[in-house]
Amino acid sequence: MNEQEKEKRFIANVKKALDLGEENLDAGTQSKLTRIRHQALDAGEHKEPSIRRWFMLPVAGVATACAIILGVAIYLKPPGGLPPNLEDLDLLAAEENLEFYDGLEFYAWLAEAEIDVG
Amino acid sequence: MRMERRTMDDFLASVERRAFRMAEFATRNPDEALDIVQDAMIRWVSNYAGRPETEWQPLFIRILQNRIRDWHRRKNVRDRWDGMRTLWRGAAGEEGEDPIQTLADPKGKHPGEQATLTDSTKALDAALTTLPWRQQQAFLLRAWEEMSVADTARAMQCSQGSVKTHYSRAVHSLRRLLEDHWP
Repeated sequence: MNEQEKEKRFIANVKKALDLGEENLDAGTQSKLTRIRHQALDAGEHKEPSIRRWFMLPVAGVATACAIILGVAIYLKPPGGLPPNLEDLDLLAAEENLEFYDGLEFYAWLAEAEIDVG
Repeated sequence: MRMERRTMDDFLASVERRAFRMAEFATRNPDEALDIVQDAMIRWVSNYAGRPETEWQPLFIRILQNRIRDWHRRKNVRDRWDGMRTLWRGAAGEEGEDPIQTLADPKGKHPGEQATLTDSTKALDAALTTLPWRQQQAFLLRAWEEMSVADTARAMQCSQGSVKTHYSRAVHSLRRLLEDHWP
């Protein structure tokens, strides 16, 4: 028998012995293995990463669609002035207009006085 | 698609004993081996159970190998720290309980202690635990799992050349240690 065949036979014996050891695992260890297997399956089920991802997909899709629609609506809005509340804001923000409104009573009195004089 | 629990359970039940034995050879400690197997199972169920069934076994073996490698890295760090503590204690002349000593005894329950096993099996178990763990795992994957060099290299995350070297050295050592049983 050459060296290669000896090694092959040695490996076959080793494999047989390892199989025997695996088959003859003591009951206590086998019981622990069963318990940790069930715990691992429970832990994996509670995690459920792939299911969560699939569940979140339509929600994310709807949110993205809403954002796109809003963006397009704002972009395509025809120029026609600002909404009323924004016009008021613009009016209040203009310093010269406020001065005009402050003197409005004077201008009214002046107009009446000119009529009387006239 | 998520696999049925029953299918996953059957697969894990079919690989758990061998996985435990591999981890036990690597750690020489049944409790540590159980932790490694459980961690590998959890990772497999959480991340890879949705893969095709043909990939399950190589994936599980790879995860198991990663867990064993991580265990050895942590052990190296722990051993270095233990060595430093011993030196420091020796220099300071202190005595007291070393917390490392309270850890589980690595030789508490040897795989070869099972009464039902033959003498050769006991001798093999003892011989395997004397090998460096990379040699040991390369040998177990090649000889026991009958994995190819390429698959073993993928599982161990090393080159095919390294696998050949580890395997060759392991066979040489085991033949020498077991020549009385299997000449």
